[in-house]
Amino acid sequence: MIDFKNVTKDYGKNIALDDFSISIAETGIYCLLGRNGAGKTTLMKALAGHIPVTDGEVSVAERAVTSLAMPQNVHFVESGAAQFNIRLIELFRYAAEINPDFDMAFAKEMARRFRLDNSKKYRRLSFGMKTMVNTLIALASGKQILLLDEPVLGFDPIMRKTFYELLSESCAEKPKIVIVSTHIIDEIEKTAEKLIIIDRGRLILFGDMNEIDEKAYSVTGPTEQVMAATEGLRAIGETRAGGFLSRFIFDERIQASENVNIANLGLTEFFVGLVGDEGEVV
Amino acid sequence: MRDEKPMFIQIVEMIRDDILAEIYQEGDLIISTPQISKLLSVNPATAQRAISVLSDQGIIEKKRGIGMAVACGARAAILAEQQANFHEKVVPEFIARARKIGIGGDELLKIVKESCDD
Repeated sequence: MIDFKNVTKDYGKNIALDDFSISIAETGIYCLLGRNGAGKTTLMKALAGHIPVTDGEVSVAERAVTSLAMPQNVHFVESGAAQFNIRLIELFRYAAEINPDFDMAFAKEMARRFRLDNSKKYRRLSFGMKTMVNTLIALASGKQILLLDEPVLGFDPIMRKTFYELLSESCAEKPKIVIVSTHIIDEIEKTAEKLIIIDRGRLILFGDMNEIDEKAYSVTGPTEQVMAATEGLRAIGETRAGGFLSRFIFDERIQASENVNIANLGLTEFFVGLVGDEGEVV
Repeated sequence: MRDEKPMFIQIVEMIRDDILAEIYQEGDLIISTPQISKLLSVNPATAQRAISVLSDQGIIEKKRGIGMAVACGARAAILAEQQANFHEKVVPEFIARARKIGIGGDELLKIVKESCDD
């Protein structure tokens, strides 16, 4: 459904996407991770046709995306996007007017669950609530592809939890491709089915969330024993303390021995291990 | 030392233990994937992986339109496997550990017998 073929996007000297290729066909929730400036937003903008790419080809449902031919089945919610300063209920009505697939009942139900006041004007809402309204309109849009850039920024932990529950429900009800970028990994780790990690405009990892559970672990113990036990395995990072070493592995599982300890790695540690600067991992 | 297993394997073992302890009887519907994911706060894909492993092992089977149920003969299979494991792994490790701290065969027998009588 989504295809990036050798896409490069540079903003002058600054290369945001570097010969980037990915092909996404299955519906589901995709977690897009990357450090600040890794190219997450550029990826979404290029996919939505908001910016032209410098080189390569972006297509959605086998139709090339350009800024003149923006894909109709994609709904992109920019981080900090603005809306008309009108009451929420009117905002929903306009959304329904320009988009016949807009699910008004769903929008109203979500507004109720998030305790949004339908009669409040957009600008009177808090930052987190504004983001929620934008996401809510996206979820109700009935589009096949949703791009949510930092949708939980400014949310309290309870809102984040409810948000991801809702996202799961919405996807279970109407399967679609949802790509979510975030730096708050806790909840999305338990929600997303697929993982996309990018760094410096390049695709570092594209896989199943299950892979983290199965293959990401740490081996801790005396330095020499840990090195011996993990020889030949793909190490993505390490931490040292005294004569002890903890190596982060992303590979087949090994058995613990008398000298080394095996522990599962969470997505946060995995991500830091994978894209953290080598110099920072001491 | 500690050996933390992947979450999906931990879930597989939990359900197998429940079948062995007859918390789930043969034919009973087991906990659903969304329930596992909510209860243990794990990714639904992880819960799904555990269920598919159990299904591949023949421990559970699909009941069309209802869910996954404990397969016929599942408890016997788990029991046989655990007994084999006890003989092949648990006992030798137990003896090796006793030897390490200077407990010989006769003394070990005595300890086991006394502990069993309690």
